[in-house]
Parts: sequence; C-alpha cells; structure tokens
Amino acid sequence: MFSSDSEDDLTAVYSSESPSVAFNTRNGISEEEEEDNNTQSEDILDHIDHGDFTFHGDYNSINMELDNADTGSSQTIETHTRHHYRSSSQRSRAFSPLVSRLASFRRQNYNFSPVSSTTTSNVTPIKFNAEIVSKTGYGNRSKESEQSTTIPRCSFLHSGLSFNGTQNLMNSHPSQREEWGVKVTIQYVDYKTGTAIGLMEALNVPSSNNKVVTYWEGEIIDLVNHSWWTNKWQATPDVDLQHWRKFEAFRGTDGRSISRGFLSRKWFKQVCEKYIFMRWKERCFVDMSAQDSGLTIAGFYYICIKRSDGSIEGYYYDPVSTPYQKLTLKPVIEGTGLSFAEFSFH
Amino acid sequence: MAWTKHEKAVSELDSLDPEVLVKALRFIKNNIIGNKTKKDLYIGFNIIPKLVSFVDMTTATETTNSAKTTALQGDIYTQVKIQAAIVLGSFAYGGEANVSKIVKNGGVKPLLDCIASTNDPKLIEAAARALKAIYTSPTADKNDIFQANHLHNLIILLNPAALNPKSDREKIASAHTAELAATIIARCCDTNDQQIQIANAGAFPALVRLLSCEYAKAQEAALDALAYLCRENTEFGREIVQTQSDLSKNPVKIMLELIRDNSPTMRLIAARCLTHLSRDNAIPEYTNDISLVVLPTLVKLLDEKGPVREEAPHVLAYLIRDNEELQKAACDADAVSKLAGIVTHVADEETSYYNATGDSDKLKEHALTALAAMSSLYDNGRKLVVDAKIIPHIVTAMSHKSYGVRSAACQLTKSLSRSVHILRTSLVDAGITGPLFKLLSDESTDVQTIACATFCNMVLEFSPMKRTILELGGIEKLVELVHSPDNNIRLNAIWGLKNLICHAESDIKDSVMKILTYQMLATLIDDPEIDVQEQALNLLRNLASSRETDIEEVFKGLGEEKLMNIVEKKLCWSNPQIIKQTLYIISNIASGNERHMQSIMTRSDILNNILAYMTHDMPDIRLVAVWCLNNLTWMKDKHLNTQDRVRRLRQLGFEEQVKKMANDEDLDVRERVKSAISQFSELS
Repeated sequence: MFSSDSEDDLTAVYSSESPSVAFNTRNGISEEEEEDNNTQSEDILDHIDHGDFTFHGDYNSINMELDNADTGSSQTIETHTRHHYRSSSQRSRAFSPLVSRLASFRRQNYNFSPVSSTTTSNVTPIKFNAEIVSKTGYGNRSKESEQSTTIPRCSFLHSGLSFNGTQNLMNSHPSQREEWGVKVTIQYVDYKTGTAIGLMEALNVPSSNNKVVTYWEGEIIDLVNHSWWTNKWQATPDVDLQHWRKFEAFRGTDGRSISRGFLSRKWFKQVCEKYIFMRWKERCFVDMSAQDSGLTIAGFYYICIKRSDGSIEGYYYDPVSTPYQKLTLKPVIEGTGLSFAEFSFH
Repeated sequence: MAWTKHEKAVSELDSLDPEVLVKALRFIKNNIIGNKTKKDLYIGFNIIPKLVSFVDMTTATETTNSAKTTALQGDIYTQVKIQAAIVLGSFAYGGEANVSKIVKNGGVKPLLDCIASTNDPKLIEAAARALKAIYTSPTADKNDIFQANHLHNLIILLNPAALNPKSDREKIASAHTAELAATIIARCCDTNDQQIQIANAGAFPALVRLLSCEYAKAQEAALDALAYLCRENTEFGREIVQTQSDLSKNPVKIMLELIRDNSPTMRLIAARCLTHLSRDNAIPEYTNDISLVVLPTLVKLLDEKGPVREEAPHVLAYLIRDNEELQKAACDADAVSKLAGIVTHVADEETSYYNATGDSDKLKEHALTALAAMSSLYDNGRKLVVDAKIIPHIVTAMSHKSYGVRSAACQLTKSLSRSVHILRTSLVDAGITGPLFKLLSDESTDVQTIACATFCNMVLEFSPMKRTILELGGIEKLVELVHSPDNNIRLNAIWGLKNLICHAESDIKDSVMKILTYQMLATLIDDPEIDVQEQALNLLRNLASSRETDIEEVFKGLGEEKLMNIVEKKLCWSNPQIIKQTLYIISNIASGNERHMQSIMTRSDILNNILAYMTHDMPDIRLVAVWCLNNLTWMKDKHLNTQDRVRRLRQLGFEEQVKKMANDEDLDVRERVKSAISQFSELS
C-alpha cells in the first residue's frame, strides 16, 4: 500500500467499472484485491507468452468496451467463469480482438460468483463472434471506431524530436539527493495503434561511469488501444492511481475525483486537450550489458506530455526500486526552433 | 512401305466425296480425343489447314434459294463442318502450342462464322467448344470476336431457348451452348474497351437471365462472365446490380443463393462475382453479406483441393485489400493458419497429387498474396502471421523459380515490416536482408519494384537491418534505381532514400548526396510523376533538418538561389502534398541560423504564400504554415535581427492572421497559434 486513501479509490473504481451490472459488495475489498493480484499475474504471463509489444486491446480496453457493452452480450458472457478464459484454447487466441473484447467483459464482471461450467462449455467463441458481429455489423463498427479513434496529434510527440532533462530520486533526504541527466529521442509514433518507440540516454549516472542508452516502447493512453490501467508490469490499479495523480495535470484534484474521471470519456477528452499520457517501458540496453549499466529497467515510466510546450513529466515505477523517481524533460531546440523530418512506411 | 490407318485417314481428307470426308474425320476424332500423342501425330500431318477450310465452306443451309437436293447435300456438308470443328476443338484442348497453330492458320474466323443461331445447333456447339478452348489460352488474339456480328450472335446463344430445343437432349445441348457462350465472353473482357463492347451488345440481361436457369454449369459460366465484365468497373457493377431479368429477381440475391451451393466451384465463382461487385462499390447495402457470407465462404474454400483452393486465396486477397475491417474478419475466421499451412506444405505436394489438378506455384503465390493482404493494414494480422512461424518459408520463397512467388514473398515482407516490433525482431532473426537485397536486381521488373518498396521500410533509423543494407551497398543500389525509366521503381527508390536519411547522422546524409548528387535531386523534384516529386521534396526536407550544419550543407549543395527558387516555385502548386513538403522545407530552414532565415525573409512571394496557407482547408498545411512563423519569430535573444523580422512579418499581416486562428478546429494548430501570438507580443 502506498497511501491511506487508496482503498477508497479502489472502491470507486470498481463500483463504477460495472455500470450495467449490480455490484457485489458482499466479498469486501480485501477479496477484490486478491482477485486483482490473480488477474495481474495472469496478465504478466500472457505478456511473456507472446512477447508482445503493441498490446492491442486485450485487457486494456475496458473503458471503450464499457461504452459499447449492451445488456444482451454482457448477459451471455456473464455465464462464463474466469476459469473458462484461462483455458489454453483461449490463450492461443488471445490476439483476436473479439477475444479481447470477451476478456474485458470478464474484467467488467469478475466480481460475480462463478456459474456452473456446464452452461459455459456449450458456448464456443465462434458463436460469440457471430453474436457480436451481427449486433454491430462491420460497417457500423468501422464508423464507431473512427469516432472513438485515438487522440489529437501533438507536434512535440513526433519522430526525430529530442528532449533533455533530469531524473532524480524525490523521496531521498535532501543532503543525499541524487540526480542525473537524461536525453530522450522519439523514433516513431503511431497514433492509430497508440504506440511509440524511442531511446533514452542516462548521463552521469551515480553508479556508472558510462553513458547508458536504453530502447523503450511506449503506449499512448487513448482509451482505444490503451487505458489508464496498466494491468501488467506489477502495477495494480492503486499503483496506477498513485502515480497518475502526481502529475501537474491533476494537481488540485482529489484521488476520488480522478478515479471517477478515469471512467469518463468526456473527462478524458478534456484532460487530453492539454496533455498526452503515456507509459514508457524500457526493453533493452543499447550497446551495453545490463550489468555494466548499473541501472535496472525492470520498471516503467508513467509519462505526461504538455501539449503547449512539449515539456515532459514522468514517474518511474518499479516495486523494488526507490519510489517516485521523477523525470523532467524539455524539447531540445537547435538553432531557432524545431525542424521536422519525416519518413513513411511503404 | 505400307500406309498406316492414320495416314490413310489423312489422305482421305483430300477426297471430293463428302461421305468419305465425314468418315475420315470421325475416325480422326475418335482417335485423338483425350490422346495427346495422337493429337501431335495428326498435327504433324499438317491437317489443321484442311480442317480450317472445311469449317470455312459455304453450305446449302446458309444459302437461301437452294433446291431440295442441294439442301440434302448441304446436310452432309454440314456434317463435314461439324466433324472438322470438333477435331479442331479437340486439338485446342491439347494446349497452347496447338491453339497458336490453329490461330496461325486462320481458324478463329471460320469458327466464329459457325455460331450464328441459324446454323445447325450441333455445329454451333462444336464451334463454340473450340472457341472456348482457344480463348482460354492467354496468347490468343481476341480481336476477331469484336468484328462483324459475332458478339451479337454469341449473346443470342446465352438464351438456351434461342435454338428451339424440343427434346430433353436438345435442351441440355442448348444449355451447354449457352454455357460455352458465357465462358467465351468471360475470357474476352481483359480490357475496359472489351468490357464496354460486350456490355453494349446487350450481355447483361442475357447473363442475368442465365443465372436463373436450371443448369449449374451454365449458371457458373454466367457468374464468371458477369464477374469479369464488372472487374474494376464501377459503372458496369452498378448496371449489373440493376439488371432485372424476366423472373424479376435481384441478381445479387441470386448470387447470394448460389454462393451457398453444394458445389465448391459454384461457391468460388459466386464469391468472386460478389467480390468484384463489392470492390466496385456497387453493392454498399450488402456490406454485412460481404463480411458474413462472402468472406467466410472464401476462407472455407481454402480447405478444398485443386483449382478451387488455388483460386480462393487470390479472390480473398482482392476482397480484403485496403479494407482493415475485412482483414480483421479474415483473421478472426482463422484464415492465417490455413494459408500458413498452404505456404508450409505446398512444396511437399509438388511432386504428388497436386500437380495433376493444379499449379502449386500459383497456389503458393496466391497464399502469400492473401497473407500479405491480411496484414497490410491490420496490425494483429501481422502478429498472427509471425506466430504462424512462416517467416523462414518467406525467406526461401524469395529465391523461388517463379517470379510470382518471389513477388508475393516480398509483398508479405512489406506488410510485416510495417510493424516496428516485427521489423526489429522476427524479420532480423530470419536473415531476410540478404535474399531481399538480391531481389533489387531481379530479372522481373515487378519483383524489383516490390523489393524496392519493401526496402523503404528496412532502411529506417530504428531498423536493425539498416547497417547491413548500407554495408551491402544499399545507397549505391537505390541511387542506381532512381535513374530507372520505370515510374514505380523510380518512385520506390527515391522513397527509400528519403527514409534512409530521415533522422540520420550527417555523414550518412553526405554519403547519399555524394552518390545521388544535388543535380539529380533537382531533376527528381521536377520529375514528370507528381509522386516522385513529392518524395524528392520530402528528401530535401529531411536533409535540411536536425542540425544547423545540415541546413548549411543543403545551401552549399544546391546553392541558396536555386534552393529558394525551387521552394518559391513549388509553393505555387495546387497539390496539397507538394505544398506540405515545401512548407516543411521552409520551416526547417527557418529553424537554422540568421542567414538561413534571411534567405526566406527576402522572398516576398514565399512569405505571402505562407500567409495564404494559414487559411488552407487542410489542418496539416495550416499547422506547418504556423510552424514556419513560429520558427521565424523564435526568441533566442532579443537580437536586432529578430526584432526586424517580427516587424516585417507583422507588416505583412501575419500577426493579424494568426490572431484570427485562435479558435482553429485543430488542437495542435491552436497550440502553435498561441505560441506564435505570444512571440509577437514579446516584441510589441
């Protein structure tokens, strides 16, 4: 636990996460947390299984699915137990977006007691396909997804741009305050899939004599491809909340309002008028072994880019590292402004 | 030396007695049908010219005022014609070499003359059968059919009742003739002009009527003909949909019934016809049927054998190309694993049963093409292809003997390389760079073109393959291809160079420009192809970015005067992509030093155009126009030059304009507008 009010936040999140179904409070919060831990480790397994980078849909599209869910399909899916979804056949189909849809329905409903598996075994995933497809129709769906597609672009989140700044340990005693220089270069951004990649250089790291370069892969929070909830990398919803609320974007907003806001598309649209939120996950060291670097890349960054000037605020999360390492970056200006080069996939 | 019975039959063809002729022709017919050796034997005796002359005879039935005796005699001559046409038809089914001999001996015209509906139905059928075989050959000349009354006669035959069949046997024969006529039409609409002539002759109502006949083969042929008549032809697609037959059933409804037929061939042909109509955008109200009926049918047909399995992936690829929703639906229907199975196993079947029924090269090509289509836009599709573990087979396919397979392997690699993750992992691990690099010099222009397009994605700064490509001489090769007279190759090569220098270090940019030369770049900027121009301007934009020294290099390389002339000229174009790239060149130059900015400030035409583009319809263009202004007014220090620039820009109306844009509909434009306004206000 990171802070005393996190339990309240958690309740708020889960209760409003299932608007179309009754919320089962009988089990209490502690059990929910247990559930959550289960889900989390499963997610990590999934992640390792597929070595995935883009993380399409899967468990991350909760918010969008909530908007689209209608009673018909939720009822059908409610009859499924969590156990059902862990079957190997489901796992192997994990990249079918329709299955992702089911997976997110599952999250939506996972406070329900499991129903007998006899009902479930009769229903094959293919039948779901037909049901969901016939209800929405491909034509309609494409229109829908166009409307809900991604967030507006920002000049500063553009391939080729570099950012300079520092990373420091916030909670350490002032006398032993540690800080090192950081340079980030964005190599590729795709708003459609909500992904980005780039490099991060750490200069004058306390534990290393060398410049350390890492390669990272980023997720843009767009509620289409990626939601506020990390659902992996050992980040529970309350860890997510603890970090998101630190950003300037949410200064003066209490935790409860933030967690409620996370469920609202309108609220999301508002905050995205000024900021872009991301997660950056370092994948490997470039031209250097992990041992030589003296750093760990086990964690990941919560990131917020300010649309007006491109300044970046970030918080590093790794359960075993010092909490709240803060990243502060500004765009590198060469000469008298910014230049933009561009490539295009053929 | 004794004559063989075959030599005897051949000699009898010189007889003047029609009875002898008929007997000899029957004998030959019975010997050659289904027997390639005998066909070759008789062709060796050079009987084709004789057969053609028999078919070309004028008989009594075709002359009007003939006496009864001559009519009787005419009947026997008609028998000669029928038997000769059957023998020619049998030869034609023997392969392309035979077809070209018949064509060379002028056999097509006399056969076409036979299909007039006033002729003996048996003669019509025999001639149509021969023509079907001839037109199925890709080398056959299709001009003759568009001469005289032939098309008209052919279309009459599409109606099985036209020949007044009485007995059941005659009815079946006339349905068969209708089938042959429809197939001939299907083989004769390769070009738009041919489609138009056939449509103008009245083919649509006749074919739609044939769709509802009770003979499956005739229905298949009608579907086939309709499919080819509306291929890439929206107007005809709509016309077919609106064609009402006497039975007044909507043709699309009939097709949707036929796609549920028991016969896989019928399902395939119906799916193809509906696919062509869908690609024409002729049946937008049937979108659900396309994704819920046509697409799953095609995917299921991948489990069939022979020609159906060979053709199904081809149609599937065409259906889902450029349509991400359908690509996703195809993936959901499990098409990737089926196609991957084909790609993996087709080589093993090459020597066994498959060869007898189809072409394994074509099957492999089509399966790879379908996989490429499924992953061209849909990112999860790419992942499914990688998970199916077929990348090693793609690499092998790059050195396949068939150019179609090599080209399809490239196409699939191109689709996969659009995923940054796959580009950085699976493709590198498979060692695809070397085999692909060889294809840049392939003997087939198609393969070269697509290989070059694939390279565009592999030379990006974050691609691990970039270094290898540079070591293999990638820059030299791309520059060589930039000089190609082929528009597509030139486009792909300049595209590749543009990507290669994007975000690259200065030394890479230098080595590209040493080989390409600024003179050639200027030539490409004025290329006859607008797409090439766009890429060339994008390349110039990328050269002049990232570092002040890089901008200086461009000033030296092109010369300030020439550079600014290019920019000034291109800014007046109407093509938005040209405008956008040109504005980015200006914006990048404006991020340089004082001298670079001054070169812009002294050109009133350029400044006025930037101002004008701030009100362009496209947000992308407004955005870069405002970036130009931001860079020109950037406050590094309160240097006197900056103050001069701000004053001049204000005089020209920039401040006034940018203030009008505070409520621009585009969020990013609004943000850049805000910073421009604040930069103006700092020097008021």
